[in-house]
Amino acid sequence: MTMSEANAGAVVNAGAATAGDVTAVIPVLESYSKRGIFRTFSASQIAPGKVRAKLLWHYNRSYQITADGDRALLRISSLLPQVPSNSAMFHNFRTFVEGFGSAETVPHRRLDPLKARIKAENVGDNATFLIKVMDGDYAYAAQKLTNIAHEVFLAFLPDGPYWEYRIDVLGLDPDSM
Amino acid sequence: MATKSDSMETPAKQKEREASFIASRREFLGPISLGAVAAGAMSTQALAQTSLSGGACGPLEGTKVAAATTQSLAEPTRRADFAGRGISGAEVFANLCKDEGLAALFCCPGNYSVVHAMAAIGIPTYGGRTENTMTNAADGYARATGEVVACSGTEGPGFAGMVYGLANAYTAHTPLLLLASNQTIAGEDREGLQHIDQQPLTTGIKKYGKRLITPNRVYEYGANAFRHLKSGVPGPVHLDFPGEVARAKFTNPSQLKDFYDKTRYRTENRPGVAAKELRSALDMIVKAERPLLIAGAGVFWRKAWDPLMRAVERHEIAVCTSGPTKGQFPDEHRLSANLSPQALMSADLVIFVGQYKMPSPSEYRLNPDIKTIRVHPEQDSIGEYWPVDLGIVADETLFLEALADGLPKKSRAPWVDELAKARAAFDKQHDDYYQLGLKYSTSTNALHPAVIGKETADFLYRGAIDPKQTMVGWGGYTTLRFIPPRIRANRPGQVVVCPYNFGAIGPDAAVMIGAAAALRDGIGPQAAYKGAPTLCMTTDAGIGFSLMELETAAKYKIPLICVVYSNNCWGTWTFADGWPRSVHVHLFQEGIRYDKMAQAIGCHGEYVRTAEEYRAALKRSYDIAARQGIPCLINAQAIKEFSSTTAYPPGPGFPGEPGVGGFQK
Repeated sequence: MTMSEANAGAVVNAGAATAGDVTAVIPVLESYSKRGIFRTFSASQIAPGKVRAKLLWHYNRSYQITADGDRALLRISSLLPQVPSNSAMFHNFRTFVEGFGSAETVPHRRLDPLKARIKAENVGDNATFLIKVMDGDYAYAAQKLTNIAHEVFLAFLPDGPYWEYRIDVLGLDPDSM
Repeated sequence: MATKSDSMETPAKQKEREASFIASRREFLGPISLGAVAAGAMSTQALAQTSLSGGACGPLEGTKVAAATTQSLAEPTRRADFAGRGISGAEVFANLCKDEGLAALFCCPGNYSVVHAMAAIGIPTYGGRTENTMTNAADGYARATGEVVACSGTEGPGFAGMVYGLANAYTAHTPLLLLASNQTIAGEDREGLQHIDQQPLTTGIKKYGKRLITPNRVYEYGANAFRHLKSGVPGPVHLDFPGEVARAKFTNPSQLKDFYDKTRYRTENRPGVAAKELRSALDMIVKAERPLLIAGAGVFWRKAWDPLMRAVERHEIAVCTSGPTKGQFPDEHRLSANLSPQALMSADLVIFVGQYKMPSPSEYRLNPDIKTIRVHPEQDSIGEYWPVDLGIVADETLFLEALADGLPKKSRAPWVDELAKARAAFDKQHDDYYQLGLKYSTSTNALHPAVIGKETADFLYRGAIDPKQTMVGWGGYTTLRFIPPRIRANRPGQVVVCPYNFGAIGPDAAVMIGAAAALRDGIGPQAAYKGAPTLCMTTDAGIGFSLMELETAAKYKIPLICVVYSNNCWGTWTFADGWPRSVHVHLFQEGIRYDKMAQAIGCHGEYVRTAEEYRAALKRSYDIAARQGIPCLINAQAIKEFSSTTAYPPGPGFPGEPGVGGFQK
């Protein structure tokens, strides 16, 4: 079992999910594209109960968001590449993203545990996170996923010791900063 | 009536400044070491070659302001008129500049007819060492005051040097009037000495420009220049003067075209906010739970800080400031979000007011669901880069006044509480950086920037001096994570962001010479702290561009203290990681004594390696600058490895925007 599967399993076991319309993620994500948050965007239902969206976002990189109705999961792929699972950076990343499920986070930014739960995961040294949909409200989960990923780029990375990572791995042009 | 020029202090004026500034700050002087007080009481000559303590030393013996300089500055001013032999084109232009209230002129010799006419009429004029740095100084004076300021240089070579400074000013939307001589119309296209076709070279970095080619239209084009400088969104204007225009003679006003005063060639009228849009804005603000107003450069240029305060206090709206000058809203105010970056993502409505340079949504730390209102005096850029829910074409002051009058009184305790908690977290983070920096400094015998930031803040804001009195400017990206977040802007114009959005390395000291001159003379928003010293936080890379201009500061007794973070390299050296044969490109010689260079050109110098030495040097320099108007340079010795995120984490970083830094948009 990969770490990813183990983490996903842990989230899946966190509570029973309620069925919902997985395609509800499409208009939510599309709205970010229409408002200039995502720079390019496409989304489609790739199989019954499965949606995949592709978008261009931070650092001019492509990201893929998948919604899996069977497992009631949303995942954003390869959010931060080249982050080994045993690294301090991944440890900090996990603390940061899973903090959104903590009661210490202000209510308007926290995940409602009755609606969704969050878990960091590391697949092949790619740090990312997934959200388990607890009540079938995929629109809520898509919105939270976007918000939390946005904070990873605009708070976690700049606040941490990741200046060189942003240049070397994410392709930040230091002369353009 | 003849008056004294005020571009440099006369002895009487100096005494007056020292008396009013120092006498009212005895409390501040009290804690200074006896040695420093003794040094402060010495004359400049007595300070020369005097080792104050450790690496401190006054100006080298023999360096002094020429008597001819003092005499020149004491000459009476005069206004040229049409009587007798008439008035030159340069004098026509100088008279117009005076009538428009041009705040100052920074120049090098060249463009003589214009420069001499402007100095003669009493426009405070500063002559410096390079056109580039004097352009930066003019920019700094404008950023500190919100006034139109001019710079001038000689034709080809001098003008070419001004382009860098003009670009910096353009990016900051400074109302800078760039003037240059430019040979003669008759000599065009003959490859004459120093001739260059100037206007194409400033395309893209000016709001308006014109080579004056018709002598009797010199007034008309001067009026055009000020119409652009004082209307709408500010920006630089570039005029070049051929000899036929500058030296033309006029004996009668009728010889000049469009010779009527400023009440007729431009208007002070500004666009007010339409009733419908105001209602929409009020509705959005009232419905929001956590509104945030970003007070950009336009709030400063339009001097709109009073209605801003009234509006946000009435309705408890959080405020971040942005732009090349800060302090349009006080950092220490409970509604300031400048020092609460962790709370920014909670805002559900953002109101951009006077944000001339718009970020994209991936540049500001605001959540992707946020609603947006943008208020801007011109329609054509609303909606660019950042999609808006409501665009309002209005003058910043008029909009904020309407907002203050239209908003109901409202308390937002949870939002204010969240801002306070985020600020506490921010303070703790920086205290942790300080502890780490102290550890690094102890182990290396070199000053970490977190230590410099904390010690500077303790001295300026938590000591005996009035926290609002000192203006600070900063630049240099290697220290961005540690120093700018410690700097406070608690009154309009208290902080200048030298490299704002152009990202230039090097204008810092020159920009702050101009700004320091404005504070010394108490111009515009600096009036309440007239005579106070100014601090410039820069780097060894930065000071390389403008160190020689400290001689100009010494000549004019401008009380500027430059703190040079000296890490023996460009901050870029880590970019050569993996390119061992290229590392040398990024390195300087080690242990360069910028403090000694400063001493050689009439300044006080200090060399420090520890927190204790820095603390003492800062107190000493402040006292010397305040008492004697002698510029100071503190060479804070660091090591390049502090810029490594692995060797000395966390290493460099950009403070989150909006609010904390201001380097970018």
